[in-house]
Amino acid sequence: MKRRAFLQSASSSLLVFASTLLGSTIPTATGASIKSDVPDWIRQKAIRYKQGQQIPSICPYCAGGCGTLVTVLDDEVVEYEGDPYHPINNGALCSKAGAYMQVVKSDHRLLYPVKRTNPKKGKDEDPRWVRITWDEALDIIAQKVKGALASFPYRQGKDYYYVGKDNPVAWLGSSYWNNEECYLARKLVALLGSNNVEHQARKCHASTVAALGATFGFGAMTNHVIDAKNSKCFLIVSNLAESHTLEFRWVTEAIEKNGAKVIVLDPRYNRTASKADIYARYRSGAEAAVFLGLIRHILFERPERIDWEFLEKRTNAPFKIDGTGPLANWKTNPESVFGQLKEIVAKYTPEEVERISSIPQTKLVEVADTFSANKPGNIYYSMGTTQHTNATQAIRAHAILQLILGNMGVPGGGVNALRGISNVQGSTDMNLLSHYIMGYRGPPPDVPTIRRYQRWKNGGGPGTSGKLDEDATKRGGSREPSRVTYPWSDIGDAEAKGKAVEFRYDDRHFPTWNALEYHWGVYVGTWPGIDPDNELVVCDLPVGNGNAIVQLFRAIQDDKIKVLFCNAENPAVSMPNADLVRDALSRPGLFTVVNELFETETAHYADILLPGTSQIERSGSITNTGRWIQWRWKAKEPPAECKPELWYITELYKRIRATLKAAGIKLPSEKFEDDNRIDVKKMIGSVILQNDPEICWPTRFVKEYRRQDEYRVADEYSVLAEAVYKEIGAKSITVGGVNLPQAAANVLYRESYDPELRPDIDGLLSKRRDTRPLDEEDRKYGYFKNWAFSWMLNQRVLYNLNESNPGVKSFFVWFATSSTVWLGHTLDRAAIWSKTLYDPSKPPTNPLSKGLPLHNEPLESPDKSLATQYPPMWDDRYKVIVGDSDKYPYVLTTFRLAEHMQAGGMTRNQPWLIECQPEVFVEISKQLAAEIGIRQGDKVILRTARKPQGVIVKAIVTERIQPLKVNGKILHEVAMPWHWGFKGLSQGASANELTIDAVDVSANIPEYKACLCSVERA
Amino acid sequence: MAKGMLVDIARCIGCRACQVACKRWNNNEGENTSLSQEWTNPPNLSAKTWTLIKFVETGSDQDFKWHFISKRCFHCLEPACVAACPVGALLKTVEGPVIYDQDKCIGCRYCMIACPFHIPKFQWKEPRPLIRKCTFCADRIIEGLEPACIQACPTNALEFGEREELIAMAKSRISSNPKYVKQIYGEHEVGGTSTLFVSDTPFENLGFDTNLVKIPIPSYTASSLEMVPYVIAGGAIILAGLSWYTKRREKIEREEDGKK
Repeated sequence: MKRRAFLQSASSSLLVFASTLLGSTIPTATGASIKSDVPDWIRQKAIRYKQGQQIPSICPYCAGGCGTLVTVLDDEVVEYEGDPYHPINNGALCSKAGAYMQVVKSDHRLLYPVKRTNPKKGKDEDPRWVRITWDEALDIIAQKVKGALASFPYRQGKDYYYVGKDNPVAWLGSSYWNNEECYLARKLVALLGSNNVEHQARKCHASTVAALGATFGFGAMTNHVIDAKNSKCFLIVSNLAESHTLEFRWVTEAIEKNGAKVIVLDPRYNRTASKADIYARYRSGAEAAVFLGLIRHILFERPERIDWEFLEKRTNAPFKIDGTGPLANWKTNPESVFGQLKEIVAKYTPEEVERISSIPQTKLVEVADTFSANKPGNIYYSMGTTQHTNATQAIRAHAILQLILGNMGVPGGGVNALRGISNVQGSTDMNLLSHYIMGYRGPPPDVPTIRRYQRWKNGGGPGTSGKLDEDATKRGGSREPSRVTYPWSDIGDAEAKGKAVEFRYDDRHFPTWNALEYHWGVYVGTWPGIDPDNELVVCDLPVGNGNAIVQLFRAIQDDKIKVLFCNAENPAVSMPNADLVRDALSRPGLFTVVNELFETETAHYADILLPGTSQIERSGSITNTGRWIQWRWKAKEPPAECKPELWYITELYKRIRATLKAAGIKLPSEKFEDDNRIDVKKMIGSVILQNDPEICWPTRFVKEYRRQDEYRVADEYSVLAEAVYKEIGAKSITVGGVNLPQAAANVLYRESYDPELRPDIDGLLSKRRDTRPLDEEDRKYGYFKNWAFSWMLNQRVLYNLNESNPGVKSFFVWFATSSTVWLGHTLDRAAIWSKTLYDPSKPPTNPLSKGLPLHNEPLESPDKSLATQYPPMWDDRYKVIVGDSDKYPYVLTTFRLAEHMQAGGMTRNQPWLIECQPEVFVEISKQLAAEIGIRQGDKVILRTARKPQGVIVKAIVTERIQPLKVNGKILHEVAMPWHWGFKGLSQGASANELTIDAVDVSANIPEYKACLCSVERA
Repeated sequence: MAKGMLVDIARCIGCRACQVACKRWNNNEGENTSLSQEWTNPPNLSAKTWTLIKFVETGSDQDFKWHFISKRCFHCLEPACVAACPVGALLKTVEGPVIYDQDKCIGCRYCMIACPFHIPKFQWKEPRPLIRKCTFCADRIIEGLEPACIQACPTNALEFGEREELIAMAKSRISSNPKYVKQIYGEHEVGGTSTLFVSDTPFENLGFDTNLVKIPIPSYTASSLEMVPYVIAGGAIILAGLSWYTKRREKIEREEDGKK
């Protein structure tokens, strides 16, 4: 082209282009709309979501009890989200729950029963799984149980009963199971004659049950999740924002609406501390000292902030410990409980607390002043307090602080134990615990008590009608005119005879054993019952407490346990001194059955590994940290050969029972029948009841339920869940024309089943989904009393006298040394001084000697002079390896992350969560890092006396950890999350390979939160 | 009409519920990561991660503070990415979301360069890579639902609503509570964004770019683009003039050649 031609064409085309541009506008103002312009690839999910069916459920992770909605289309989960209608979370969810769909849909789930073919067990042994059928699995298990029980004695002397602790069959778990499953599991274990049953609750809040039970009456969180919105101040000894994220929703609400102050006590600066007005860093294990210091400051420096009226009216402060009082001059009288408290706390001055805890004096005073000035104040606490050898005492100090401030029994106040797993409150209530059998009632402890129980059945005593024949008719006692009845007619009589302790025990326990006799089809008493003091004892409930969790693994090590069932619990990661536990699980004589979603670290040691179901693949109720019993509807079918847990427990017992029966291994009452060729039966009303657990297994009520509710899948095991729920919580049951003295098998759940109140949901009050307030009080404080059900008797704030529902509102505890003073409901006094935790035979440095809390060092104390002055409470109940602070100079504590759950069995299989928290680490201060010459991201070796070879982990060098100053010396504390193990998609060292397995002396909870370690570059 | 999102950094507890909810609703897989000292993971937005929590530390010792910033597309009122896209694959909708049509995308990555917040990400490992970023859950908004991250937020640190109403709410919050910085980030930055932030810590300490212009970025290109027709028309005239001049010279040359 010639130059001229180019210029001509260029000029003309530029003119055309220029005119085009002049005619248009800039590109942002296109007027696009999502309605017309969103491309289809973005809309796929929304389309399926809209087509699906939504089923309400409850989150399976922490015990907040958040509602979730499962959207299902063609039996596939399309979406798992927060339930916008649920009052606790209003549609929100934490990261763990938000990712739960990845558990349900995971490719790594167990789908078929398998058995181990490699006889060797160990971390590095391949189990060599071989697929088997459920039928084969149940047969193998039944044969093993038969073998274990073949020589287990059913007679002790002449009497017929099993000793619960000696039984070679043990059961663990689970707080991830529904109430009905936990209940049937406890029933199953009891019917096998064992009290070797434990689960997660022992490791998280056993000390809470002991401490709060002894102080208030109930051993549970006193208020509920939403109630935080009524608080003006929070004293948080917990990583609430991370471990119980949605509880922090209501803390945020209180900050915004009430201007509430937030005080966080924690050895680590964590995500909760990031929202604190006051953050106080303290040394792990100093909790009791800190709280005694807070109490001292208020008693001595801020007496005007003490709630004197509350102390006078609702505590034992004005009394002497022998029960005399109230004393007129109790505020100044050193003999009053109040005077004793003052004397005890006097030495916990800010200086002394600083020396023990490292909290600067001014900060401690600031904490005490802020908390006492802003009422109502709420104490939230969890593992930081509960997992110590002196945990029960430290929690008592929390409770006493709230009592002196009058923060109890009021909305916005309370001592609020944050429970860690969705149904850990329920599994605790169902007593998958070695020292309880149901509803916090112990198993029959000994022969004399069983004899007294038979007398009670025969008529008279606690709960009496005044007519002995009527009592015997209702209780299934002997009706012979010559029968021997209960010895003390009422509490007054018992007090006069110095038998008030027994009377109170009987009052609490006998109605529950009586209910269990009926519901479980067993016999407890003497036979034929006419002369309880001289007849043979025949007791089908296993007698005496079993082994608590740490002791249980020692029993396994000693080959005393032959068959271990482990269900949705991962002790190979979650137990302290995990190597010992893993060794125990590797014992050649132990046969382990694991029921799980994934092949966890514990499953790795199993002989039989069974596929469980996810929490949306079955129906049932669960109880949250605030005691709300809520229903979880089944949303989809389980995959492959995963079986509902109720099916598993039901079939397991049927198979074991048939196998045992064929071999002549039976209930003590049946052996008694065989030996004596008689029929052991009892008569309630006009009905004769045979002793036969078969007709009561899994429950008597199976066939009654056929009505539909909105979300119900009426398959056999969803219906069974409802039937078992009736057994747990029935308001009344009529047998042979008489009403049972206690209808509900679990006394705490009584009246949670009431078909007269709500026939439309078959009386299952936990299914209620009505957010409307019951009354003005409800509207004002947000109790949500029409939503689900709360124990006790739908009381939402325990000990709150203003709630409009009948039933238990009062404190009920022993408070005097005199056994004649049982301060029951009518007296309504909380125990600052506790009889239950009083043992004057102990040395003066032991709080049990005072009945009031003291500071005691952790078993592994970093400071020898503190350990001498405040000796650990540990009583050498078994052998523990204890390290020396010269060799292991640093304090190691463990913690949890928002993105992982407990032992990680679920969350370490969820890629969305692993992305957020991919690996195990240890947090180390910059100063310690400099001392030992490591940099950010370096690998370090942590060693403790349990694991001198140590574990290797990544160091996160951070300002979030700072050096402490304890007893005038610089002390380093390091912190490690404990979620990891050697299985799953994210693997790493378990912190519990390092931790110490000493336990709280009152509650047997391990001291996870403080031990001694060394750190060096790897 | 235009929706917005208010992020209150003072309320955020860094639980990463938003991050996971986004992955779940949009079916994005988890990434392989390693832990950093501040804990942000993944370290940045990516084609698989459209929203994440930035963990930021300020101060030391007693003044140490940990902050959490829920990060995602700002959905600018006048987005640079939309202006930069040569094929109209990115669109600003009247409802607020900046949306993306992958069928139109040619993978030129101009949007990535244009975005002042470095939001659009490229699927580097895909055989036919596309741009990925937060959609403001336009699909959920159509159905009358909040964006997934906002519904999930436990502490209401993320709130959804009309942008104008959110600004009014944010103004009252920062004026009534002394802990807040007196600024709504996104109210004016680059001419205003749909994602707005309030904070208890100065934005510059939290890694926010506080030097951004307060007018829409496309307005720069607009003002220069507005010149384009005149430049081109002028060019055409000059070229035409040149053409006329050379024609005339040729003609004179030819005439002179003819005389010779």
